[in-house]
Amino acid sequence: MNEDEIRLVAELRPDAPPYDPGAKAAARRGLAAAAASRPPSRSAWRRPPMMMLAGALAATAAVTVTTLATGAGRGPERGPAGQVVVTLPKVAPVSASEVLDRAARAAARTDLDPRDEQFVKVESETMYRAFDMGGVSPGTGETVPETRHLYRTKRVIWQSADGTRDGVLRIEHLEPEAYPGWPIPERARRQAGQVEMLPLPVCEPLPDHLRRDYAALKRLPSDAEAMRAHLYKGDPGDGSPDEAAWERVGEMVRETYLPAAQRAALFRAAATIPGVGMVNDAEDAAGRTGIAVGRIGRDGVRADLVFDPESYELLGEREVVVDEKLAQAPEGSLFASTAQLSVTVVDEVPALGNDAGEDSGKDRASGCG
Amino acid sequence: MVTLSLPQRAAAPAPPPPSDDAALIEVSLTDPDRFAVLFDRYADEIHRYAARRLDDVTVADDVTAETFLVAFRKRARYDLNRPDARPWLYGIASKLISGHRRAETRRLKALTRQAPERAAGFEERSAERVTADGLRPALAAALAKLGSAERELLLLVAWAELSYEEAAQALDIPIGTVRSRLSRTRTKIRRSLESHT
Repeated sequence: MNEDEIRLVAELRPDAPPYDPGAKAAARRGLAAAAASRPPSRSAWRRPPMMMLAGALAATAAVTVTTLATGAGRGPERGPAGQVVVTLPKVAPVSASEVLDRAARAAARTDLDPRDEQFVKVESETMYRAFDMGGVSPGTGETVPETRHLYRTKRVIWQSADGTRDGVLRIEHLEPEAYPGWPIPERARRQAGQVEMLPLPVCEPLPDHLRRDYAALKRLPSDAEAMRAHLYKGDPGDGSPDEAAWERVGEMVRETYLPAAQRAALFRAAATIPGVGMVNDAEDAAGRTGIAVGRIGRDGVRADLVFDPESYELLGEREVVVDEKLAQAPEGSLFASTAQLSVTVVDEVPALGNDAGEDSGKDRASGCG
Repeated sequence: MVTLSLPQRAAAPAPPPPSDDAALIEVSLTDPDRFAVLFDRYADEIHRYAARRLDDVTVADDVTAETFLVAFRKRARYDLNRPDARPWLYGIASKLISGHRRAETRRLKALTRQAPERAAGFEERSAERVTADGLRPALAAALAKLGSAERELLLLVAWAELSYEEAAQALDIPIGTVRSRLSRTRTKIRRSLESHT
């Protein structure tokens, strides 16, 4: 079959006038406004949350502050805008590897080993930053102001052990917190108390690097050296391989059940990442006092993994401002705080109501477009 | 709810923009602002395609803006097995372009008249060019006569340079349909050209 006609048509292709920078900027602003004005809609949460953070913030800020005060023995303060501020404990890099080594040994003590047809259920509470870039809403033409706050949720996720069955995610929005120097937007407050039950459909097999199901995690290396190579796989291309490797450590333990052998290998490998240091007296989002291992990122924020000081089980994650200038927030501000509350194996996922999303009808049958 | 990282470093739920579009779209489900990265990657390309097909650049501007808004709203249904989002975006743009019949017809009419601008000393493929130039009015007329589904597919392949597989994804049709539809379209064009000569 010859394609001469297609070639002829290709030759006919007219030149394109340039994309006017003003029009382009307006389009981008419109998109940003759409993203900003969008509530955490069901459709936005519908896919398996491979990149979502789990963890938990069990208490309101007030409670957190109280427990921090007792835990750290130093006075955390409420800043003028009501933000959560904790006193920075000292980083003692010498013992980070020791903490991670204990965590690795602790890993061997528990192993759930779910069967393929079962589900891993993880309960957590989280607090993360939410930025709304503002702009003009394309729908209403209204100007949406720029806002920042810390949003908090209680999450329960059911994920298929072998990645072949649809999962479920339950999200309960909790009272938001203030971002340092910014008032809490009304929109964020209104969200508190809302509960969403979202299907996490399995469409076609995900690429391996996105999979966090038990079966896929079980295929990862079980020795520290190979696991380290895995953490460094894929150059982030921004000259920060160590930062990327440390982020990957967090991703692997977040809302997952990492098999004992891989968990031990992960913690041992994590200890070899340059810049990782120990933090005493760290609190997780549930107010549990722990011992943390953290690494300061280029943005002046330290990303911590918090461990139980006795059992060395992972409690949660935190992000703490250590460089006021870089982070543009007071030192000690919490940018994220999570607590993983339970990880269990269950046979079934909860049933979803009919009101499972805005795209009801046949679209919803699979959720896979 | 919109979450966004600070400029220097990814916030906890948002690692640095994945190079793979599917991973980026996945991230944007929980972190909607991230979707703007897709705009940064492909807005120019989509605009170029829209501007080629439509006679009015402001309509092309609108089509481009709307393409990304529609994509944003539909992102939860994106097939995450497709690392390249271009076919998907072209598919959305195609639908929107086909809603601008007049601007498209004007474009095709203009093509029948327009003498192509040719840089001096452009010798490569000049024989082909000459042929194409001579056929230009007839070809544009043939394009205008095609059914819209045929034209959509043909131009995705000929102007946007999508592969058959990508065109199939863009239009959400089986690859076999791409082949048979293109074959039929070629025949139509050939006949139309013959009737002109």
